[in-house]
Amino acid sequence: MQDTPPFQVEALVPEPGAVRLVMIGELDYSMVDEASAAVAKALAEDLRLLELDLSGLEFVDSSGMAVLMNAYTGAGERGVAFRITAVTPYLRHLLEVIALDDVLDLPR
Amino acid sequence: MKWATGSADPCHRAVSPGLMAALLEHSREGVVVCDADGVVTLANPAAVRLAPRLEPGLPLPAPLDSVLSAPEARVVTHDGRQIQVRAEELGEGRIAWYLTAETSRRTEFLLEAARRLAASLNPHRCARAAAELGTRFLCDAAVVFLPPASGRRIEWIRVVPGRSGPDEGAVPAAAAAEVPGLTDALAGLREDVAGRQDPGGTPDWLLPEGFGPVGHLLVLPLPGNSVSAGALVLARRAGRPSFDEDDQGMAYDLATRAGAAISAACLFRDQSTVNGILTGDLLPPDLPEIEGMRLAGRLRASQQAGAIGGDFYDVYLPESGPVERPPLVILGDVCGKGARAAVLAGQVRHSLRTLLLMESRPERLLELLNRSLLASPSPHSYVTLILAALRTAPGGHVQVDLAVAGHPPPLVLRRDGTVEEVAVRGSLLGALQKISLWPATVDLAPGETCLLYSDGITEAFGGPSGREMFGEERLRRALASCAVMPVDALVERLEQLSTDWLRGGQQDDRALLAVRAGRGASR
Repeated sequence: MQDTPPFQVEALVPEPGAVRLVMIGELDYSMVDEASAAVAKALAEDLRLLELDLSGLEFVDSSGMAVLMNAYTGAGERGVAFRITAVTPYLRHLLEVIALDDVLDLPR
Repeated sequence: MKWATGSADPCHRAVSPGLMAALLEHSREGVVVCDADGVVTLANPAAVRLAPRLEPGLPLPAPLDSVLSAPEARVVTHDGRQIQVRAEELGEGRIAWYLTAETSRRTEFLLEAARRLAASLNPHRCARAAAELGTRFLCDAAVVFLPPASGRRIEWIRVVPGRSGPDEGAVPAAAAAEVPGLTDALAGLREDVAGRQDPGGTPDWLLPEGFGPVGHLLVLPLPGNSVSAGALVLARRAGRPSFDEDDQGMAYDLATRAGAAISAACLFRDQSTVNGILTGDLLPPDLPEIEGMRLAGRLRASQQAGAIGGDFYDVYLPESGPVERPPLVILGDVCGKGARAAVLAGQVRHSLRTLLLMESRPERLLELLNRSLLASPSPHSYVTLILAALRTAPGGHVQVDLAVAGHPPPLVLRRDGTVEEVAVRGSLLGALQKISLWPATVDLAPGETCLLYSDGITEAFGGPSGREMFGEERLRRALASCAVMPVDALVERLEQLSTDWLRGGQQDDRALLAVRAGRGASR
């Protein structure tokens, strides 16, 4: 699949004490390590708020979903607020299937 | 090329001297001709490269002069170099010597050994290759003894050229001890570095009938990975030359390489056996007959090598005990792929089996399973699951009590061919301290089907563009087209459609489980 957009993750600092991870492309089994590392790096800092911007995420498989879950639980364990700032309709549907749409307080 | 002056060439009148010179000039084999007095009259460039002291007009240098005309080549050392020399009488007292570098036989052997021994991960085929290499390069009969697997009988593979195929057999350790040096070799011990043994002590069973008396015998251990990989026996018939130093060096090389290949193959075989035992428990169960309904399931793992993956289904029939409950089927998906996911899937199936001894309410079962996953020492233990309790009802109906945890909701195929998605959902397991569940009950009239599936089916990427997802809508339409099929054929067709959609592309784990109300093979 040559025209697969490669997975990329970028860490922004919208304000002091907050990190926003912008993920684009396809987050599947093969890219889990890269995504996990980005989450771990963000959580290693002195953080108040972890945000995920997933508006550019075209596909997430179950391994990719585990990364998002780890970010959520990891933030919870450290007392860091967690927020998803943007999702695609596809991702919103997936989050509804696993019934996390309420818990994650998804943007409208 | 060096020509002695005045030498005529009456043997090759048909060939012009120029052509003769060119032929000899480019030959890779060294050619030397001496007259009746033992004086060199011709030495081509290949011969001079091999034996630099060759000089036309001078006597043939030692030890070339010691090689008498014979059909078989001899190996001599000239200026520290090993040369294979074959002598041929040309008439009128003249003699030709043909010279080749001795390394070529050794190089050929090493290349062949590398090629043959690397070609298989089966201990028997490796042993056979080693025996065939032995007879091709070294001996008249080669027998490889494999390390005793169970400590009792020792398997052997024997190659004797001219006989059809290799022979195989097994002997007790006591019989193996009759072969001189074999017990020590099998234990990895080498008394004599060269491995030479008394050929007179060879027991009859070692070689085939009619082989004749053994003249020379080598018995060598096959060094394995810290333990012995067996032993190699090489035999030459009486009357043949003994194993010289070169032969012994090659035999040692053969034993070393064969030992490495056989021990790797044995390790692979043992690990495959262990794998088979471990994965056997992770494979989907055979679906039982349940009164009043029919079940059909399909499971495909993305990684064909293991045939196991993160998708799973299982059936729990009622058991006599404190908890009364109807038959239960589950279908689920562990986040991840391959063996790691399969192990967690196996744990989920076993946990449920245990929980079912005390609890039968689907919601309560999922809550307990969630707590068990949260307590799991391995992180990322996320599981999605459908739990379906199957109750028979009057009129051939089946009531399906569904609890869904983070899994795509089941589809129902009605008798009129319409397909409904069941309004049921809940949180995935292993992530949240408190899960939310919205269970539902579906009534199936006779012939109606409830289909549980994993997202590997709907998220199969392929189609005409190769980039399109199979999707829920396509699955619904496919299911609608299966209304008149027997339920086995239904799951087979859906799996086939999803496989076709992939068009050979990368596949995820995929699972399908269908429950149909009513008796009979169809409807």
